[in-house]
Amino acid sequence: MSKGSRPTKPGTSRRAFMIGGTAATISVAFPPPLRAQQTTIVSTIFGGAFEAAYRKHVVEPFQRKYNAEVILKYGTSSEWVANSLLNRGAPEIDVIFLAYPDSIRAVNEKLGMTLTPEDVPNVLNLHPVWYESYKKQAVGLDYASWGLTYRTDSGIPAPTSWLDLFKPEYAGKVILPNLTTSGGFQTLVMMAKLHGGSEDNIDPGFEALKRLKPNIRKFYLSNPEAGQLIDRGDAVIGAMYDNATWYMTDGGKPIQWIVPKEGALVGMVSLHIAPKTKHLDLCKKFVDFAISKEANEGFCNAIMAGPTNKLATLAEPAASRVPKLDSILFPDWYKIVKNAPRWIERWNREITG
Amino acid sequence: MAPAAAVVGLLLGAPVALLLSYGFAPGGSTQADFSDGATLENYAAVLGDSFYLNIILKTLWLSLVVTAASVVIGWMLAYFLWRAPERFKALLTVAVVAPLLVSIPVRNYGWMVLLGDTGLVNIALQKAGLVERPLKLMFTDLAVVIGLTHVLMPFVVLSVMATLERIPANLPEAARSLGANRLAAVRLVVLPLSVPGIVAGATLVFCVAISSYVTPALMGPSGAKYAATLIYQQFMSTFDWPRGAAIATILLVVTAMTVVLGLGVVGRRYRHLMQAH
Repeated sequence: MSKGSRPTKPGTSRRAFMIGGTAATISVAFPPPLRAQQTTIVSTIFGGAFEAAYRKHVVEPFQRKYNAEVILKYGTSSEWVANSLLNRGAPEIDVIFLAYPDSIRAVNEKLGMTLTPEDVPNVLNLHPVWYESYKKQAVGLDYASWGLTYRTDSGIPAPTSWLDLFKPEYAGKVILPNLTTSGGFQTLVMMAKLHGGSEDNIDPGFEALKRLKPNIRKFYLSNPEAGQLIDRGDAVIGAMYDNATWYMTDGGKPIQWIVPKEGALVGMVSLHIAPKTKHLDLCKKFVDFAISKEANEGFCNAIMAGPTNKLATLAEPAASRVPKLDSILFPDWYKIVKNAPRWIERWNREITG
Repeated sequence: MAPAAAVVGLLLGAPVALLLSYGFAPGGSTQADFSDGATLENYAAVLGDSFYLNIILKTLWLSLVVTAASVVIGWMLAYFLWRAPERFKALLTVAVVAPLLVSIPVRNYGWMVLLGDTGLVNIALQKAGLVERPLKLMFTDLAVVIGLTHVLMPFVVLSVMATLERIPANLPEAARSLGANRLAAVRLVVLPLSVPGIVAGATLVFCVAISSYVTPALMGPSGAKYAATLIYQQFMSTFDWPRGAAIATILLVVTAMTVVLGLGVVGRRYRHLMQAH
């Protein structure tokens, strides 16, 4: 084929492609025109059933009532704390939703502004502990209880005590959270208290866990992982939150949750407002809405959690499943957070090393 | 070329340099506080502690094993693809590369279905009477090696295939006509010519394996047993960023030294093959 008579290629020429491509890039680079009169705030959430209930009972009604938009970011509590630390001057997250122990870290680092009843009127309707324990820099949203989850088809009689975990029948079939996973510190402190220790004297806790090691299948890294391990039968008993377990029970699995006779410990998620947010008024309204009686009731009934609003009442089945507030054990989170780095080092070497 | 390199250098190098500078600040917080000057305390704490050194060495060893396994399996797969009839080649290549489209956690969970205590492998072994109780295959170093090799092997396949495609297809035939048997033709002719592809693939696999977090976290033993999980823990749980930065720097240096050493050794032996032909 001679070079001189090559026909022109049909379709886009290189020049047309360059022009079109540049135009497309520029149009994507600029944000779409802002809808008039709608502000957007950014918050955070754990995924899964929790998120679905949160959107349905808190976020969507709020968006409708105030004609605003709430964008929810995913991730882990500690990532959100790290984000807030780095972006203090220009927060990426306006309303920070956090769990223990990151919520206490946030309080120590003053990542949330002090909330007053003028800012958030529903604060007066909260059980005081969910406001005071955060030094008034955050409010609790709902509480979960840390107890024992077990398979009913394991052939081993149902557990009644935390110490049942030590039974030889459970060899290689127990799961506990890694210390840095949600629930990890509760487990360590519980083990310490059961053997004569406390947050100030954690040695008995470490000793007990070292004795428990032969029974442990894995120290899991996330709540969903724990659920899967029990669901698939790799483990038959473990320390887990109640709401995560009920989700499986209601799905028809032979899995139950109990409060051990020594007590269940508390898990809590809280809402903090970044002081330098550009939408302070809307953030306050959001927090107020989230802890209001209606939102709290709807949300907690949906995921089997305990409400923080005194006026909120639970309906069945949540009412009989959720432990009453005065029956749950509260560890001293400020002491835990202070000791955390040293305990994590010890954990790496003595327990998982 | 130079302006592009400068832009890339700035965008990549500046954040890394910033992170690494944290390593020279006093530990225990999320700030790099240089008011008392720079310090080597983090490096001393890490390098002087056999616990940390073991983690780094274990990660290095694991990555080398993953690299070797990926290269061996990947090369064989690439050779098979190269020799495949033309009409199947595209389909088979897609089949090999398709896992790259699936996210890593999903692939790891897939392995859990196979390797778990109630997984297919254990069920098969028990039904065949080879074991009485399920083998603990998940949450071990072996599981991490399997998971990482599975995830990273396609990179070796692609890289080796690219090199093999430039070898004349009748070269092995020519070797055989000169008296080599089939194995010798592959070993003495095809394999040396594919070395550039092997080196590129192996370097990529090694660098990704040594710094990988997701697979060791999902499939490996509990706790912070590998460098990446340890670094993550320092940043996200202990909130000791200078310490985490120091460990990250050490990991970076170890990786760079291994790659340079490996390239140096291979380059010397195969210098005549490393030039583009």
